[in-house]
Amino acid sequence: MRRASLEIVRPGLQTIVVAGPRTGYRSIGVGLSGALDARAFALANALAGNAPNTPALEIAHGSFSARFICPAHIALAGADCEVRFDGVTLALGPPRSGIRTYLAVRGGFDVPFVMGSQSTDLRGAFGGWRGRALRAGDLLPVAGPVPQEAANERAMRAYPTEAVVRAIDRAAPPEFWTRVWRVSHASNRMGSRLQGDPLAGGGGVDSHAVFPGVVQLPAGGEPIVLLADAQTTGGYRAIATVLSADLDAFAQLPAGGAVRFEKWCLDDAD
Amino acid sequence: MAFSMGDFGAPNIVRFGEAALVLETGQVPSIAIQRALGRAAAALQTANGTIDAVAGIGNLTLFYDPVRIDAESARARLAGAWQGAQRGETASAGAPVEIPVRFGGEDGPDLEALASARGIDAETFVTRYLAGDYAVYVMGFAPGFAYIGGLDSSLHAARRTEPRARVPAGSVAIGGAFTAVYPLESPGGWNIIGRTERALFDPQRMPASLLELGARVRFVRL
Repeated sequence: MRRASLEIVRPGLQTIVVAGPRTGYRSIGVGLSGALDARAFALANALAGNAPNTPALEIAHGSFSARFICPAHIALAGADCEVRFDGVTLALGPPRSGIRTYLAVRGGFDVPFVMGSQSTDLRGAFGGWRGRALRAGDLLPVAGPVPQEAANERAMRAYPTEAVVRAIDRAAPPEFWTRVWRVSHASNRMGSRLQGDPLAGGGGVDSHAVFPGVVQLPAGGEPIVLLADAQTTGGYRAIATVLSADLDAFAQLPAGGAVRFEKWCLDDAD
Repeated sequence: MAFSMGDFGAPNIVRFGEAALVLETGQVPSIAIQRALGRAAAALQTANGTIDAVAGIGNLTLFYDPVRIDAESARARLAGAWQGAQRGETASAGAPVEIPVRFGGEDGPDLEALASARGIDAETFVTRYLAGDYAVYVMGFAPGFAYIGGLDSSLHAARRTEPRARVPAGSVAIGGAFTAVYPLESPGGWNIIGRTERALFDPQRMPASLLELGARVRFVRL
C-alpha cells in the first residue's frame, strides 16, 4: 500500500499538530494542549471526513506551504487566506483576518499517542510531531489509504477584530465588565494578555488549579485569559472564567484586537 | 491561632467555571494537609466521571464530565474524598527521592549573589540547603515541575525581577519559600543555585514525573 505524507516547505510562524486535549495528567503538571479554535478544528476534520479530534495542523499567521507526496483529500477551516492547491502543492498566503487556519487531511496525520493524546505539548516538548512546531523538511505521514484523486474543501471565514465574550463572574472588579481590552503582542497559546486601564485588586493568592478560560488578574491589573496550553496551577487571583463556547474568539483575535466581557450567570450556561 | 494536625475543619466548596469545583480547606498550609489533598486527588482521579483532580496549596479542584455526573454529585464526591483523605495515614511518604546536584558556577549562576546577600559564603549556603527536610507541596507551572517545601527560612529568596528567557533543564532553583528543579528548558524567574542530571520528566516513562505531591526529596552534592 502506498503511504501518503506531507513534506513541509514553509512552516510559517508556528504550525503544530493538534488533536484532542490531554486529560488525566494535570496532577503532575501536564496541561490540556490541543486546538486553540476548537470549532474551526472540528469543522476541518468534519469536512475531511475524519472523526473528531483526528490530528490536523494548526497554522498560525498563514504563509505556509507544503507538498503532498501522494494525492490528498484536504480540508481547510479557520482564518481565511489565499489558497493555492494543485493536488500536490498547497500554499497559503497570510490571513485576511483572524490568525489560525486548520488543515485536516483525510485519514489524519499519523502521530503517536503520548500520555493519552496526539496533541503537541510545546512546553513539555512531547506529543504531536516530535514535541515541537514544524520545520521545513519535516515529512509527516498520513494515516489511511491514499485517495484516487485529490480534493479540497474549505470553510474559511473572516473574523472580526473585536469580540464580546461571555464569562462567569468570580468577584471581578466592576470595571472589568465595562472596559474595552486590547490583545497584547505578548499573547501566545498559553494565554491572551490583555491591555487597558489597570484594574485594582489583582495579585497573588494561594496556588490553585487553573484551566483554559480562567481570567487571571496579576498585581499589574491587566487581565490574562488562559488558553489551551495554560499551565495547570496558578497563583494569581482568578476573577472570571470565559464560557468554553466563547473561548475560540481568542484564537483569532489579532494583537490590538478589542474584547469586552459580558457577565454571565452560571445557571444560564448549564 | 491554635492548630493541630488532626484538625482539618469544615471545607468550603465553590463552582469554578462550567465543569469544575474547588474545595478550600480553610486551613493553614502544611505538608500534612498537602498530603491529605494528594490522597483525595488520587482517589478522585480514578472515579467515573472525573476528568482531573488537582491539588493546590490548601485547595483541591475537581474537573468533572458534566455529561456523566451533575454538579451536586460532583460536590458530594469531592466532599467525601476530602473526608476520607483526612482519616488516611499522613506519617509515611516512602523513602526520599534523591537528587544529586552540582552547585554554583555555570550550573548555579545565582548562588554567589544569594549567599553574599545573606552575609554568608556559598559553602555555608549549600550546607544549609542540603540540611533541609524537603517534600513536594504542589505540582504545576510545567510538566513535572514540583514546588518543594522545607527550605531553611534564611534561604528564602524573592523571584528575580527580570526572568531569564532560558533556564536549562535540570536547574535547581529557589523561588520564595520553595525550591524546585526545572524539568525542561523554559523561561523562568527563580534563582538558580545548581543543576542535576536526573530526568524530572519523561513522557515515555511510567510514571512520567519523578516527583509527585507529598513525595519526600533529598538533595545531595554531586
